[in-house]
Parts: sequence; C-alpha cells; structure tokens
Amino acid sequence: MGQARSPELPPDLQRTLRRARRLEWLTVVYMASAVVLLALVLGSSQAMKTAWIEDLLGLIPPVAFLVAIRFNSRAPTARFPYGFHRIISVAHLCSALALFVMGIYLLVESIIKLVTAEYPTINSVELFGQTIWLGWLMLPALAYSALPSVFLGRAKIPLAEDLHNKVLYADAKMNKANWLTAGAAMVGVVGIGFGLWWADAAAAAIISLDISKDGLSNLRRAVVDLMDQTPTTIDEDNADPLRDRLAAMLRDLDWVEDVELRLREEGQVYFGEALVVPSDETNITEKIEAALKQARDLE
Amino acid sequence: MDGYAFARWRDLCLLLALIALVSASCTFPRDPRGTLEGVQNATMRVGIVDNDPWTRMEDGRASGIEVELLKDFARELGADMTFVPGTTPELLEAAKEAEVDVIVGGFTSTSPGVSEGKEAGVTGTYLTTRFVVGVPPDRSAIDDPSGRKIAVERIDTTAAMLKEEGAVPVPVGDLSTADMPIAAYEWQLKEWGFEPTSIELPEEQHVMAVPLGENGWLVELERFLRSQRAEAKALLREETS
Repeated sequence: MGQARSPELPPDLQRTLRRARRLEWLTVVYMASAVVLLALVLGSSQAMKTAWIEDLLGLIPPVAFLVAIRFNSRAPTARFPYGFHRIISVAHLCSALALFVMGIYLLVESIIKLVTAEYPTINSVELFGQTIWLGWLMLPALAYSALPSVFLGRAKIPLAEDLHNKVLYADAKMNKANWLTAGAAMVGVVGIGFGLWWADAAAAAIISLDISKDGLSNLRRAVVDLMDQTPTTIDEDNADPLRDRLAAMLRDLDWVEDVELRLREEGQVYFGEALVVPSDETNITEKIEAALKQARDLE
Repeated sequence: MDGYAFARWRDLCLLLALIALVSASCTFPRDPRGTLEGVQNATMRVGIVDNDPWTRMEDGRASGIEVELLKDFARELGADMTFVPGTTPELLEAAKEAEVDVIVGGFTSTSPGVSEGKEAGVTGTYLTTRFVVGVPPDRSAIDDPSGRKIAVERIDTTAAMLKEEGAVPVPVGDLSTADMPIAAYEWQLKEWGFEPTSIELPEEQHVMAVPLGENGWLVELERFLRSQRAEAKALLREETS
C-alpha cells in the first residue's frame, strides 16, 4: 500500500528472501549440471531424452525467480511509475507454463508409448568382468537425480509462504514434479525387469496427470493475478485473510464511517486503494497518514 | 506437502522391498514375450542377411562368423537352430512379430535400420574391426587417400567409408592381386605382401539384433558374446585369410 519503496520487506523477511535466493541458485546449478550430464551420458536414448527435456524445463522457474527478484524491488521510474513488482507475476506465469508443458509433454509421450506398444529395450554393460543389466545402474542414478529435488522442493514451500512468492511456490512444485518423474522411472525400470513392457509408460502417465494438474492450477492463478484478482493465499484460491483484517481495522478507526477496499497482488506485495467515508473531516491528512502507517504495520 | 512426504517414505520402503525381492529371484530381467525360455531346450530362430564373411546362405546351409558364434550359443542353451533368410527390413518386421529370435548380417553400430534400436534391440559391440589401406609391394607409400583409386571387394560399407575419405573405391575380383592400393584387415595386408599405410578407416563395431524389449534374452546373448570376443576375432582371421 502506498508508494513502492526500496527496502519494503521487514528484516526477517529479507533474511528469508536471501535464503530463497540461495536455494534457487543451488537449484539452477544442480539442474544445469543434470542437463549437461544427461546430454553427455545418455544423449541417444529416447527415454533419457524425455528426462533431459524435463530437466531443461525445470531450469525455467528458478531462473525466472532470480530474474524477477533482481528487478522486483527497484524504485519506480518515469517509464515504470508503478514500479516493477508485477515482474513476479510474469515470472509466475512463465514457471506455471513450464510446469504445465512438462506435465502435458510427459502425458502425451507416455500415451504414445502405450498406444504404439513400444517395448523398452535395456542393454547390459560389462562391469568388473561381470555382465550387469543397465536397469540396475539406472536405479541409483535416478535416485540420485531425484533426492536433491525432494529436499529443494520441501525447503522452498515455507519460504514461498512467508514471502508470498508464487514463483517460488511453482518452482517447489517443479521440484516435486522432478522427483516424482524420477520415482516413476524407477518403478518403470523395475517393471521392465519383470517383463512388464508397459510399466514405464504407465507410471509416467499417472505422474504426468499430477504434474499437469499442478501446472494448470498455477497457470490459472498466474492469469487471474495478472487480471487483478483480489489477493489469495499462494497455494489455494482462498482470499487472503489480510484483506478482511485490513478492512476491519479501517472500519474500526473512529473517524471512518464506511470503507471500500480494493486490493490486488503485484507479485510479492499487495497494492490497492481504500475508499473511506469520513465522519469527521478535521485533520484528515494526518489521520490518513496515521491509518496508512497502521495498515503497513498490520500482521 | 506433508501428505506427500508420508507417501514418499512409504513408496520408498515398498520399492526397496521390491528390489530385494527381485534380487532374490534369479531370472532377471525377464522377457515380456518369453524369448529366452522359448529358446532354451527348444529352437533358436535366426534371421540371416547374407553378408560375407559374417553370414552366408549357400544351398540352404548357413555359415559365417556370426553363424558360428550363434551355434555355440545354441549349444550352450541346448537349443536347435533354424535359419530364416531375408533382407534387413523383412527380418526386422519378423522380429517385431516375434517370428525370429535374433538377426545377424554383419551389422555394425552404424547399420541403417538396425543401429537406431527402434525396430529391434541391438546388442553391445562384440567385435571391433578396422580396415587399413595398404599399397602393393614396390609401390611408394601414400598418406592421403583423397582422389586415389583404392580397391575393395565390393561396393559396401567399406567403399562408403573410403568415399567419405575422398578416395575412389574400385571393386576388384581378387584383392590380393590388385595392382593398386587396397583396403583390407591388417593381417590380410601382411599375408598378401602389401605395405600398410597410415590411412585407417573408422572402426566398425559389430552387433547383432534381437526383438525389441526382450531384455532377458538380450542380456543373455550379450553375456555370451562378451565371453566369445577372442573366439570372434579368431573366426574373422580364419575367414579372411
């Protein structure tokens, strides 16, 4: 509320933001290394190509977050008189789209596999003079690629809630999508070992539904936020209780007769205007100043 | 998220239990269509594409390096052999319908149709070979193939590789008496008195093909071929000397 200002986060949230930024850098480095590694090791196999594209898509949310955070709290300029907060909503849209595309890609891919009855073939390799089925080696590799995502994703959720940052939240979902697909691939490999050729594709199809659902709900929320929907909590469509509390606080002021509040989200922060009917118009400017301060201290 | 966390640990435990179970059983991986069990103590159906010296069909009798190797494999499995001669596309189609168990035809890791692994599963390399260009006795050595006529047995992969190097492949009846540089295995050059040059053609990695997805069968064949590397090399020398 009020004019956008540079250090707009309280000190504890700034610490949270720094943590979030560190986590996202970690994610970028980890995802990029996974992309390079997969490209080097398993570039030719079709199944691994899917995994590679997923990792590439997984890079979008953290990069979007880091870019958005860089511009987010810049002071307004003549060209951008409302400041740069909305870049977070744009980043959220990008991340949500990446998540959605990944889900749909995976779904289509696995349905094609099931329909064309593509029998996955996995060779063996020679290790220490022993012939070992490559499926065995894929399991630890997949587990290794999934584990960091589990922890990264879980660490991001509380930070996203505290910061009210939906990009971070979408990225946490992307991490979840990553370890879910790796898990599905593991189930698939074991299934193939049992002679169930469809196990891989079926597991991927089930997981892709969950990812598409996350992607779609994020996509929808990103769009309605850009359409100036009233602020909502980051993971659901419930209106943020802050709005009602703010309205109640304003109404409780002894000089206020009635109030109409319009709020919208611009990324991490809320903007809006309160239209008040004053009952006592003396010293109105001071009173408004005091009310603004009180509003900002809310919570 | 907490619900997921619970599900994750439960799933992980299930998965570990599954893996332990699997490790305990001996036939792993298994075939979706049971090729390995179908061959053991029964019949191995071999699709064969004529490609001397690897595979030959003469008067209904199969021979060649890869046929010899598979004979040993069949013996190990206690299986008889039947041969299905055909072209690569025909046999790939047959493999899809599970009408042949293995296809041989001197395939390499670059053979079109086979090497992509889309129509059939491809074994790992069981033998790596390389042609060397040699000059006839009393001829000056060459070190640049471009523009030169180089003799080959017939127009095939070797000829294509020569062409890629800029040379002009010329098919001749008998390489050992050719009056120009030839592309041949090192031991052939030695035997025929040709002087090897520094021009070596790219390595060829020899493979066989099996029906898609028959992982147990594929792994068993790969294990056998790995144990026969020296044997394969000896067979090649024998065939080409």
